[in-house]
Amino acid sequence: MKKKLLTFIITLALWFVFAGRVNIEVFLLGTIICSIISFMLAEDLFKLIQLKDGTKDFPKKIYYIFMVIIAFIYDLFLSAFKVSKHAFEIKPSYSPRIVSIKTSLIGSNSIAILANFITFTQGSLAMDFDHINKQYLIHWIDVHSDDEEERKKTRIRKHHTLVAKIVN
Amino acid sequence: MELVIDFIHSVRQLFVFVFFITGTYFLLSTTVGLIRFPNLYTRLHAGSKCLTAGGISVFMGCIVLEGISFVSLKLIVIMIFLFITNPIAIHVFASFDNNYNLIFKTFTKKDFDK
Repeated sequence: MKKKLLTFIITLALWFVFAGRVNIEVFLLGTIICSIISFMLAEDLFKLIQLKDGTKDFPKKIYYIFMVIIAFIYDLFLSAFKVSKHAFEIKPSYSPRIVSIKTSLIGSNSIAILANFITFTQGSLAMDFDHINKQYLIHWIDVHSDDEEERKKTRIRKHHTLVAKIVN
Repeated sequence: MELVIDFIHSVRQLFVFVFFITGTYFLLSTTVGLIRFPNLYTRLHAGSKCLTAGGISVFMGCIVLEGISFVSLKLIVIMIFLFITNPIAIHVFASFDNNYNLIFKTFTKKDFDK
């Protein structure tokens, strides 16, 4: 019941945001639609969220979530700038390379979040995930030496540690 | 008081211009990258990072221009959707090509599996 109520409140809030105004007609229609949605999808929705150690230490995790979002946006803009520099170069200097990185993450949520991180940051692209060997296949746009590759792998491991602290 | 209001308005306008110029640069680089890069994967790099950074910059500019309103909230929701859907779409493209080899890959000498 708690899950359904929470889903109802979140969907109703989203409904008001999209409607752009608060009045009785919007509220009534929103209540009907959001109650149908919450009755149908609440159980499945909460199955997808797998926070590490449940929700008991959630306030502690807010710090990590904040850190993850800041790291994500910073790396995104840095990486976009590097790629855009390659796009405007007269003689492009990129050297693409495909590598694989092993992961210890178990849950599908954490694997997906880390794949998003890899796709958005430091000129890397998550091509595929091998579920048997638990490794990502990553395409890098500008890796010029083995040392640089190791450095970039270390940065991915830093994101890996942050993600592992939030979700299973 | 009017001086303070004018100053705040000017700072706001400055932020809007900075966000819009950054967004335009990234969106332009997406287009140039998609045309100039040699193979599918390098093009996907332009389609993921530059497009998202450009989109976020333009949305942030719109949010600053609009102030606190329902329109800003809508823009924030759209921004979150962009954050979630763009890498998924790019990953699906890359994964599909990697598994089915639909498009010929132009590997360089340094491309290898470790």
